[in-house]
Amino acid sequence: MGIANVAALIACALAMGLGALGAGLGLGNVARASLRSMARQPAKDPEFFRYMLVGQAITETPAIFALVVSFLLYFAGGRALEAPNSPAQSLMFLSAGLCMGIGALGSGIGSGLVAKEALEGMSRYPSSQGQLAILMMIGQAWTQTGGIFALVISLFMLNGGGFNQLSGANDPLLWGSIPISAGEILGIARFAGAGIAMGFGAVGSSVGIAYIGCSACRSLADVPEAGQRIKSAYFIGSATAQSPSVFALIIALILLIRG
Amino acid sequence: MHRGEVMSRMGKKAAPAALVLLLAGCGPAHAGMRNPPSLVLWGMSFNHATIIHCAIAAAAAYILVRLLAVNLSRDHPRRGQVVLETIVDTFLVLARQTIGPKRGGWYLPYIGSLFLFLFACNMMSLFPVPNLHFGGETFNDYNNNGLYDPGEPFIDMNGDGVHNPGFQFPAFEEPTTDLTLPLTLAVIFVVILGHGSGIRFHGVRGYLKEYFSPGGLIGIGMFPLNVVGKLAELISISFRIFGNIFGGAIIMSTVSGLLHYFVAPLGMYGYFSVFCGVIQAFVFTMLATTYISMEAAEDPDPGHGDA
Repeated sequence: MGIANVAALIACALAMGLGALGAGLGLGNVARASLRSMARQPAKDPEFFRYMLVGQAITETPAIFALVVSFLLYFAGGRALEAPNSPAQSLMFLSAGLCMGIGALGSGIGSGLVAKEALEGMSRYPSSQGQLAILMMIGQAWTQTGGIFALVISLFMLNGGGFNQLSGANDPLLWGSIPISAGEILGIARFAGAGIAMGFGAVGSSVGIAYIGCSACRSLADVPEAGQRIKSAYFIGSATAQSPSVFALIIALILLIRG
Repeated sequence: MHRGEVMSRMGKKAAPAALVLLLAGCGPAHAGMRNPPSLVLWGMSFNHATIIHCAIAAAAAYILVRLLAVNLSRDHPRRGQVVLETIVDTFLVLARQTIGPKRGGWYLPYIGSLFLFLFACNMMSLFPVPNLHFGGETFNDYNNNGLYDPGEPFIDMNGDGVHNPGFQFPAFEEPTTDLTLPLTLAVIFVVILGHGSGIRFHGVRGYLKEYFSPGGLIGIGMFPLNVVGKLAELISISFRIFGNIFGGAIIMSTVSGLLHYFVAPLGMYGYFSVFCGVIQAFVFTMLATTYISMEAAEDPDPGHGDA
């Protein structure tokens, strides 16, 4: 037991706490919209209830990802580690937790917004229900891409991505008054950098793609005949809005693999 | 097209599709999170649990469809036929809406069998089949989970210095909790089917032009980003189902452990295994259809355009 175990347990709490934040807000938004829709179209009550459940199940995805990382960190915290007092390994756990927690924020809020807009569209134009349901699921799934990138980076760090390649871990170097080796300093910088890049990089483009999904759902409900054009513009627009989080993924992977 | 015709076409194409799906279990398994790999060959590690579970799920999906399709009748359809027709209709409508009214039918068998296979995969943890151990030498099961973990030494019973693990029939768990399967399915459906039909419908030149998408000098600069964007499609579609099903499995095993394996948390199984399993299978299928449609979508018919 050492400082790395403490870091893993703190990171476990951080991942789940931050990861639950966004998904919780999103789930509330879905239920709110479905209650309004039920009030507007009392005859379609069971269908709105069903779509609410489906929308909520997909909105929950980032929270489930955060839970996976949180459990892995919990198991790591209770295990006897190879380097229990290594600052680099402590930073690895902390930034894996932070990366997943912050990365889940935008996805959770965004997927809730898309489902809200789709449910409201269904209540205004019940005839386009099936098309809207499919667009809702696609929109939610694309909103969550940022959260999935954060999961990839977290799992990569937790599976020892890069940690085994630390070079010069044994040559001592006096850094201020703290005796810490060059390899350790490099490791700290790499893991902290990768976690920050991916965690914060995922938030913005998730919410941005959710905005596109919202207006796609609203437009499809208002003008169902233009469905094909709306969809193709939506796909291209969200692929472009995805690129900031892809940049973040590239930087995080470069930091982890190349150092 | 009549429903019966669609179903017979689906039946004809089911055999190659099932073969493709069976191969999905045989990928490099070092990405697996739950079971350690059982065989390492040429730098690739194989996981016999994933392969066996994939085979069982594919067989179960095939048998399920055959059982539902017994005694088809146009005038007096049985309950199974109605269920099957609903599934076929759902995916026919999905394929025609996303890909196009003409080409959609061609992709239906692949999309439909992908959904049925993933559905069967996600339902596997509902069947409580334990670990069965045949022959070989036993190992010290330190953490008492019935599985061989790399840290646990074998007991060398006949003293030949070689560990003979025998054959272990793995306990039923969703093969989707091993990253290999979603990643292989993503490669099959996004790369082979999706990009393959991109080459088929637009030609090699037209397909490669996508990678320089805005065109001109900016397009050359955008080339690496476009390549990474295509790879990101694979990552996002495969990690989505993996993370969801893996998370559900962790939640259920934790809650079962808290209950000391005395009471089965049926409500949680209902939500995380059945409900989320069906939804994630559908989302994977739908995203695969969407990625195919980005390469293979028909040009909008000018006759039915905006009037």
